[in-house]
Amino acid sequence: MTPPTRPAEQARLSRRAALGVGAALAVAGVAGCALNNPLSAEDTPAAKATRDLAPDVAVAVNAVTLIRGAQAAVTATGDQHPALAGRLTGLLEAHRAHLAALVDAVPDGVNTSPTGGTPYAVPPTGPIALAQLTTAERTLHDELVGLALRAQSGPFARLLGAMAAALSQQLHGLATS
Amino acid sequence: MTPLEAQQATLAGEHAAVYLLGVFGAQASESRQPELYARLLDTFHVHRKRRDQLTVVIAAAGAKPVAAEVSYDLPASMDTAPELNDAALQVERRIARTYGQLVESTAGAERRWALVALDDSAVRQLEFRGTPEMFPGTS
Repeated sequence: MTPPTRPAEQARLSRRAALGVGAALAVAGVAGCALNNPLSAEDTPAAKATRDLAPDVAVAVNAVTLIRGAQAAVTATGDQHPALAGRLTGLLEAHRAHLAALVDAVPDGVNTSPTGGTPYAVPPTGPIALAQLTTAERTLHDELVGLALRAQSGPFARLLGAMAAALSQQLHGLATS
Repeated sequence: MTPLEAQQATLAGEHAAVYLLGVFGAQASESRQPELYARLLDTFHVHRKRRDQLTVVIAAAGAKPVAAEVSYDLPASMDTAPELNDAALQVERRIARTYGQLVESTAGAERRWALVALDDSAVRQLEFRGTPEMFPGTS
């Protein structure tokens, strides 16, 4: 479960190389704007602003929003069901590492709070909570694959694909532990 | 790297994987190491299928698919189940990097195919007792 430091750093550098120019342009374009969750609705100001970002910056914003939502869900599940917390450690570490690799690509002023601040509802029984969380993580995995397909930068697509693959590993671990 | 170059590199990797997994499977005992044997056999079939798919895709693009080498370097020792397991894990790690490169170098349906392969390889590493990584296929 120990995250290798060197691969994470390499991925970060790779992502920076992929997004550097686009992110700088996007920051110049949206600085000072107050944006909501860009995924909440197509016709919101946030959605429009995200569409107007450099293509891969918009992908990064979407990814960060989704991962933050997943991170909150894992944390809430572990808090409400301490018996599950140990099994969720790897998942939380993965989300943290993935956010760290993406966060610099998100322009200042873009709100990436998950689902507009609606808290994740944790089921009262442990097995159901774990099943619901597993479904949510599978959805995140599929979303990351979709974002990897949307990414115009090859290295950035690889980074997103690696994140999805890491989630598959974590889900495999959850299913077999 | 162009998409075709990445596909050729991946095909070369799959040629090596098919060869090596075939040798590992031949070294394993179906009766004494049934789980390892089954994992090696399943993995061999997966890589052989991907090798064949890549061969078709590359040929359909009008290029000549890269041929397999006559032989490949084998691990120094393949006497025990752990050694065979570790050798198969190394093959999966290497092929995951290759698929990471293929994701990076392609788009559309070709990238989607590479993403599925990368995903599968990442999980398959765990079946060979690998540990989860934060970014499989990137290093």
